[in-house]
Amino acid sequence: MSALPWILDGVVALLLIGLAYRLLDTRDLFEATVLYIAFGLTLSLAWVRLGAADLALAEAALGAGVTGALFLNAYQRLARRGEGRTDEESSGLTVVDDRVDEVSPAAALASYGVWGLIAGGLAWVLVTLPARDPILPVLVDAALEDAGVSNPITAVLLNFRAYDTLLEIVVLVAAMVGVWSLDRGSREFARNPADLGDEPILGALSRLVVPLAGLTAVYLTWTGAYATGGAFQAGALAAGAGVLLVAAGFMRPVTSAAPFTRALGVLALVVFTVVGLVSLFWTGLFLDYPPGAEYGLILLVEGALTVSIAVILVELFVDVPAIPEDDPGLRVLDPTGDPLGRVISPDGAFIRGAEEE
Amino acid sequence: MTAASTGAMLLNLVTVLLVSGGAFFFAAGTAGLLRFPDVYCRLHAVAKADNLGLGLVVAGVAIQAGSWTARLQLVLTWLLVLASASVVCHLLARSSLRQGVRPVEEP
Repeated sequence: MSALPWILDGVVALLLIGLAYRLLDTRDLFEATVLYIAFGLTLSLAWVRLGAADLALAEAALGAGVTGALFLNAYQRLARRGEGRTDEESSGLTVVDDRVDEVSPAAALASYGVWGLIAGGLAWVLVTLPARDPILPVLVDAALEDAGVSNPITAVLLNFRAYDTLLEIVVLVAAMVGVWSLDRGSREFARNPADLGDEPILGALSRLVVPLAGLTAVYLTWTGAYATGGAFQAGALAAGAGVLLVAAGFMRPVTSAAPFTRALGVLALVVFTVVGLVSLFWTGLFLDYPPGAEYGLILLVEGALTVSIAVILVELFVDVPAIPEDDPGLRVLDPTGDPLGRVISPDGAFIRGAEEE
Repeated sequence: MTAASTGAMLLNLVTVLLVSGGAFFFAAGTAGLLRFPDVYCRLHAVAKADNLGLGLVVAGVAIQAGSWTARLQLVLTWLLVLASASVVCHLLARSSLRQGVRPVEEP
């Protein structure tokens, strides 16, 4: 037995705790965003070490990738909004919530107590948990023959507990409806149609990566029935390709106003619900697929999920309405911090890292 | 010692050398990221050193891979990282330049 796996796992675990602490402790939004992405990638490494390749893939693609990109997008928009400031100054956005400083010692103590109890309880559960669940894997294995798919994870997600997955797509559709309802008719991301195709280098990368990403997304959707893969990973990948196409200027940003976009966004919810209702009439139970038709129905739902997830994620990324000027949500505390490592004096002149004009 | 085991040991040695070389380039790139004075130098250090480092790691691991499919996948991964890292480096540098970040000049 070698000590190497222990050292590796220990480093990953300590890194996770350290990153989580720094992430919650920092007041610099940009630093927090970068730490969040690093945390997500480290977490996917932890899933790999635990043998959960599906989760590792989902965490890397959705947790670190898509969510990180959304945070960076939001950060950029917040930074651009700083009143009367140049881009250089406000890009070192540092925020503080005034209420944090008003907490009384008693309240702080009570809060530490509550969180300490929760953390202690979680630690106790973790320690007393059996290394291997004695019941669930046996049940899944026994039922796998009738599931229609041989990958136990897909069997759980789209057959045994299809309800959960149906509700997950409901959450995504709700997020898309949220974007629709915030729509004030102005979009910062909207490019001039004359600009389409004006990013030669990004365009070259898109020509290389987008077909590969599309192929891999189809493969992941298909292979979910047999091995690691599935609609969420495939959808995230396709969404990445979509965002790349928009950024490179090959595709105009999808807008929620377009009926086609809306139709594709709700496609999975509709297909999933119809499949559930058909099963209800056939077998008497919602989402209890008719025997023999499981594989086809799961593949149908997975395909629709991939399309809808991709469209919704691209939409969340590029179809964000402009922030109103008078939004008081966050304020700049310290304009001297800078994500690019420059130090800027309060009057805006560079001190270190770049020459003054 | 049989010829086969000597061969396997030689391959292991080559892998150790290649992966260690890759780790060295990653460390060098990270040192550059931490120590270099401006965003352009840092991008230069990270993009070059990490691409070469990953190439060496991939070469070392490919020797140990069980099949040619796995080796092809490893090389494809490296090429994709190479392409995306170069483009991201270009975009970061261009965006910095457009935001008015001047490169540090010699003192």
